[in-house]
Amino acid sequence: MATPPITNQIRTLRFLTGEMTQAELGDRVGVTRQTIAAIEQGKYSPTLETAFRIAHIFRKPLEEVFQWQGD
Amino acid sequence: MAYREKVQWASLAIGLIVWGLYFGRFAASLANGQPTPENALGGFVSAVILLVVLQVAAIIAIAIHRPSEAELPADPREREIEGRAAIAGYMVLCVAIFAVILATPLLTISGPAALGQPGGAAAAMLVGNALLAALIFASIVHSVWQIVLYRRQA
Repeated sequence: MATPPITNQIRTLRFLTGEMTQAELGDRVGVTRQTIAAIEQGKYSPTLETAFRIAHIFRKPLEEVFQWQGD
Repeated sequence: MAYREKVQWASLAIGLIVWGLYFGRFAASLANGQPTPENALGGFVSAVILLVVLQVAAIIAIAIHRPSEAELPADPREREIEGRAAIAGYMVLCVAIFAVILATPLLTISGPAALGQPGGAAAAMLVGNALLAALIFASIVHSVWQIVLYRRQA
């Protein structure tokens, strides 16, 4: 499976938000801990809605959480 | 491991055991040259009941262990995995059904004749079990492909 050309700052943002766990973030977003882990590791590209929900929780604009690395 | 991945592992293991036993018994009856519709139907009904009981028990056991996840609907990643696996299972089912269609002369004429039961009952048993095998094979591919996709993203 090709790695999606999207990187993210979720791990850093979790750390900066009181060391929020993947499970806590998953609960707040409405996805499983495993889905947060897959997004964080760049193994899965979230849906637009999930991406917006994650950015909203960190109170950051989408482009500060996710970065497009493709051409 | 996520709740739905555990359910897939349980479903796969139970399916392999139950249908393995069913087809093992059916193959033994073919080897003995004494397959009867009553035995085949009885074995099928027993297999379905056993499958349902074991799967419900397994899902309850997993849900008790992970109650919070069991109550939640599938998230977008899980729905995507399920959808991709369903496509793979459907493609396998189409190929398997086509293979059964091609094998119809073997299943309806040569097979019953080799069993010494050239009547329609033997042909119906062979065709019915071939179709059942196609369905189960597609179901196994569906479960395996979901597990593969879950593991790739783990």
